Amino acid sequence: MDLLIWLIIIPLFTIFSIGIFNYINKKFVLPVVFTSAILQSGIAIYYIINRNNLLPQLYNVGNWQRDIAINLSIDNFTLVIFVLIAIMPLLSLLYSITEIQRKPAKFYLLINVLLLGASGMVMTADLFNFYVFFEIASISSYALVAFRDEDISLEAAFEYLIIGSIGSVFLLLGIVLTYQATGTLNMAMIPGRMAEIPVITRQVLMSLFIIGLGVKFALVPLHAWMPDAYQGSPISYIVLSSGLVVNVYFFVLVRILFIFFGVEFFQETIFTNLIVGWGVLSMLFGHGAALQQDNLKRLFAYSTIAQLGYVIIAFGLGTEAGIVAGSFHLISHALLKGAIFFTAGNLHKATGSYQIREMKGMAEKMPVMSIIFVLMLIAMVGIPPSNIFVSKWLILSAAVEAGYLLPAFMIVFGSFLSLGYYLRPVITIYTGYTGFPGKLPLLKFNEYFPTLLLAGICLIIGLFPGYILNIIDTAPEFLLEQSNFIIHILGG
Amino acid sequence: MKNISFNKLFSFSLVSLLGVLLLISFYDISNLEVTLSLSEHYINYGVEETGAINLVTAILFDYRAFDTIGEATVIFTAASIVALILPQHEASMLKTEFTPIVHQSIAFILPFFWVISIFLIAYGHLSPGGGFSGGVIISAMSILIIFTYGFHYMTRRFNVTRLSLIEDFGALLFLSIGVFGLIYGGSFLANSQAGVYLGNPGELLSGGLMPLSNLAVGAKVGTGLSIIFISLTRED
Amino acid sequence: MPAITMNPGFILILVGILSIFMKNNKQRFILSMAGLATSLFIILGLPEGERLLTFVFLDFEIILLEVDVISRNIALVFVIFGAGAFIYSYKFCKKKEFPLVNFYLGFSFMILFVGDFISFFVAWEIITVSAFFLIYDINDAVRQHTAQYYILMHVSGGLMLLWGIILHVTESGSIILTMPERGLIFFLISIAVKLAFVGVHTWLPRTYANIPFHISVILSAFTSKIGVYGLYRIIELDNMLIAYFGAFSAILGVILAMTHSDIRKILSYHIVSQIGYMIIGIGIGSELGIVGGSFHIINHILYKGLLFIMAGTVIYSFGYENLENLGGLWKKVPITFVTSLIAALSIAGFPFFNGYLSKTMIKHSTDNQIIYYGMMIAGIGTALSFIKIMYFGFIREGNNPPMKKKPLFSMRVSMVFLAGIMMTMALLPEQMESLFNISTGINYFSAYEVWNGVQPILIGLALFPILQKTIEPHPEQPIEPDFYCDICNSFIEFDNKVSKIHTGDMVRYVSWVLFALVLLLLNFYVTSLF
Repeated sequence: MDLLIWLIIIPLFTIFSIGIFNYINKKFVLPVVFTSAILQSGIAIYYIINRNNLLPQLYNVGNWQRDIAINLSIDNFTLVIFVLIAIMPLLSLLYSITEIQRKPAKFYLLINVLLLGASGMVMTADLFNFYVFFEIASISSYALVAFRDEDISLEAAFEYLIIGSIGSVFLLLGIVLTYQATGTLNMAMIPGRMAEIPVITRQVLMSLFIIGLGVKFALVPLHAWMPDAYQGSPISYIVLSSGLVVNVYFFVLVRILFIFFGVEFFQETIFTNLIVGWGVLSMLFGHGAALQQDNLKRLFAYSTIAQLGYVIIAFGLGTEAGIVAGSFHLISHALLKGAIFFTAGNLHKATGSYQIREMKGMAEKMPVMSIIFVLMLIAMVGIPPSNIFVSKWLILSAAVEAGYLLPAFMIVFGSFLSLGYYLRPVITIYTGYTGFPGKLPLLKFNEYFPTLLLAGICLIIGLFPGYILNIIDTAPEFLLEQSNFIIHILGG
Repeated sequence: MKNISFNKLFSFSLVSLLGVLLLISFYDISNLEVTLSLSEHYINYGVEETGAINLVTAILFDYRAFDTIGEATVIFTAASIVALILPQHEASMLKTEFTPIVHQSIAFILPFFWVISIFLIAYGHLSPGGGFSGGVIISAMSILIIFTYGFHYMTRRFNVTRLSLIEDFGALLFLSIGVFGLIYGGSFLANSQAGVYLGNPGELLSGGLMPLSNLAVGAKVGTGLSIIFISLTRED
Repeated sequence: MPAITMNPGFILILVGILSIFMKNNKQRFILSMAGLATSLFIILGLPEGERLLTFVFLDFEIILLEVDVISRNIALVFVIFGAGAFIYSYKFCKKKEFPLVNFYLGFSFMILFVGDFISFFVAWEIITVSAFFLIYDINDAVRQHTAQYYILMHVSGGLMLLWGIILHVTESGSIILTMPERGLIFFLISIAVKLAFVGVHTWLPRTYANIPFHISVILSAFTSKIGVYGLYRIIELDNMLIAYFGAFSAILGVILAMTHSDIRKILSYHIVSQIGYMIIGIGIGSELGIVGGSFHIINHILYKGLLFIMAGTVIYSFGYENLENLGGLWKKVPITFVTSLIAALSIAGFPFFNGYLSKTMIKHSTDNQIIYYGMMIAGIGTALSFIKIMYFGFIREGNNPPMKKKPLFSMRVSMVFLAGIMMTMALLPEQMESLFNISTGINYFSAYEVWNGVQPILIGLALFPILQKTIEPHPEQPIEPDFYCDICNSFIEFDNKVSKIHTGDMVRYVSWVLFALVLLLLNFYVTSLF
């Protein structure tokens, strides 16, 4: 069944109707939002479960023939993001029930816009259509960063808006020039024509795509918006951003690079070295900067930058093992970071601050949350049996197999650095009780449940990585072999 | 002082270098021999396949209607963001009082605005225009009203809540057209390919569901832009 | 006896989980002892040399149970000492410590029996983490610092192990625990950190001297021995260089030990030194050497544990642990005195005590003169520093501190228990040899061997009056900054400068974006010219 279009229709319906429901009765809003979120998760899960029968699947919007229509497609690589779509939005919305007290309807609207953009970007096989969804996601992100309406949020949103728009400009330029150079927007028809244009032009297009999308997934040095944006925005958005949207941007860049230009092209032009080196830079810089942060949200923002560095390294290798390893790390980092952000939000309820030094003695106030927090931070370093250990193992062995010894060693070094900065919140939280003003806040179900669920999922993945690996192990087929993708979209 | 001038020099050289590099690549690309197959298809088969004379509308509402619903969402989101983020207080700008002559002549002009916007929307598939252009003219009307009769007059008649309801319904109409295509034609936003009656190109009722889509988008864009303008005129 | 094929570590891990839900220390104690008894039962019935409990993880075959003589014997002594430590400390253990100690023991057991690199690494890292939580204390800044130092040191070692494993696995394609084909140096670094080899030993005295005494009893008995076991399992080569390093470590550890006057610091540096002996044995690589080395592990666990128990009892009863403040204790705590005298004679290798057997084995395994004299010098140093502890702490009429609390009955029981086991082992050399399936033919109690064993101690006794002034007790700092702290601090300073580039200035950020693009384009245009 062609359920994939409903991943577009459902959020659209929610976006458009939420105002009406809010006008009629505010009580309707939550059920509508959650029905839509559950349906979206359900569709993603449906595709994950039935991946062997259904995939790859193609959808011609408007019933046009394949080379004219805007195509939506799901192949095995898309499932990497579908795993996140199945889990993150629902939990993020659940968490937001108590977190967002001011104008919840608007918040849900914007979250749905974000989801729409994410699903659209992942599925579309048309370059301009991709840009439309890119803008949809960007616009809602800017607004969500500003949602708390504090000085810092507004400033961060403005910063994000400026830097993000510059990225969008270059991305649009890349799309326009690609159209100019190839005469088509269909992502499956581009590769064939791309091969005919001169190498240097292809490289220019590639740079534009990298910069345009790199801004969004905080590739160093295009990352400057991310710490500020995370510092100013609500936890529910951060979880969705670092757990889904940032990964989507990266996913699309990978797809564009691998499909349009092909792995052979990278290997001929030593581009793999550049990307792997860039990943190492991103990782080391992220870890290094995180070492100096006093604000938990900023710290984890830098850590997200660093963790994406690992993913970049893995994909940059351009081998099958690298892609599987990168996808696995993408997923496991997203899940674990989501759990960590939720926990940080829960701890914040007691202190009212995200400054690490004000969390002193939290452990006696919230013992369970604190111990979970500590265990997750240690897991993040890659201490077994966490899922990060498995992904680091995969990345390291992929990198060593591909002959990239120094980058692989840098990953090990980066893990050590990350332990250095994760210890600081741990030690502060587990320091003598100093006494907080006010009463101990009770955590509601919707605050601890997402935390525990995500942490549990991470543990299960760490012990039984096969569940995730089974889903993603066919992903490289649609990246490394351009012809698979082209035949899937255009037919035989 | 020295530091600042260095920074400026750096920025200047950076930007100019970027400009030069991009110009070189533009030049390279413009020299390529390319067949723009997509646009050729639109030009050659557009009228025949969609039943709309205005190719722009044919592309917007049939070939690439999916993009259009996305763009509509962008405007929709922008409108709600502007309403969300900008301050919610009283308007203090636009205090200029106009003479009755202005009041009367604007009152005289407004119906014509209505007519032209309705025309642009309704004949969108036949002549230049369409939902977006018509919607913009509608929003221009609200701008005129605010300028001449004041903010309060406008918000008494059409406050933001009511406008966003209209916007919601417009957007939902467009979405339901898409879902109709899904049910009737087997694919989301299917129009001509769904086998909807296309009519003869050139007639008012042609192009399948296009006039309806134009109407929906017109309502949506008009109210959306009005909301943005109303929100922007509010001040602390 | 029906054999249960099960990694005994799992029992203890399970016990650790269960003990979270127990009400009081007595229940937790009984549960833990039951866990140890079950593991003992399992260990005795384990089949040797087979690869059991295998399952597939990431296309690799995980082997959770692979037993050989040495791992079984080490596990046996782990059980004995674990029981001793539990008896010793259950009265004043904190609530959190029972589960953590059980996890710690459980993974220490597990690592002895696993047969592949992945589970070896997993256990290796979890040992570190559970030790971190044992060291850590909410209200004590010194312990927090120590814990931080400990985990950073050990995780860096663990990451080296991971890196080595990755190199090995990509080269050989299998994760079975053997001699690595590639990246040997990383394995060595990792193991060196774990077994506190000289140069990376700094975490050891710092940790063991600053944590509560009952925890230092546990940690000192197991942590570094796991490292030696790792050395035995992974590095299967007869490399005299390693043996030389071992001798070097043995001598340097002893010298460092003599210069300190905090009992637990002396004992800690002695671990460094004694580990040197084990490295010598394993480095020599002959069967006798390896058995001698691992036999020395067993002996060392017992006597060093007993010495730490002694230190703990002294701290418990008198509140001091610097020899400067102690003196004349033998009248007040006679049992402690006697048992620790046994332990001290053992560690010094005095004949008829248990360190003597393994030291003799190691001496017999090589005829290399450097090693022989190295061990001799280390033996003299060992004797000297234990004469120091015994003299200044127990015999000398010094400060004579008042006794605050009488040692608990459970403490005395555990001391006598361990001392008894040690003496039994020391007096039954043939049975010990048969436990290791080896027949050395050494006549341990012949006059020649005995004279050889007594020599260093006599020299030590002779030297002690001369050196007494130089090694006299003096006050000490709990934490001394060292080389690694300096590296960390300078790195953080550098890092601080780097991260200052985030000024919040938008123009700067935007120019980074443009700069990246220009750099990328320039790179492509320039490379296209060639």
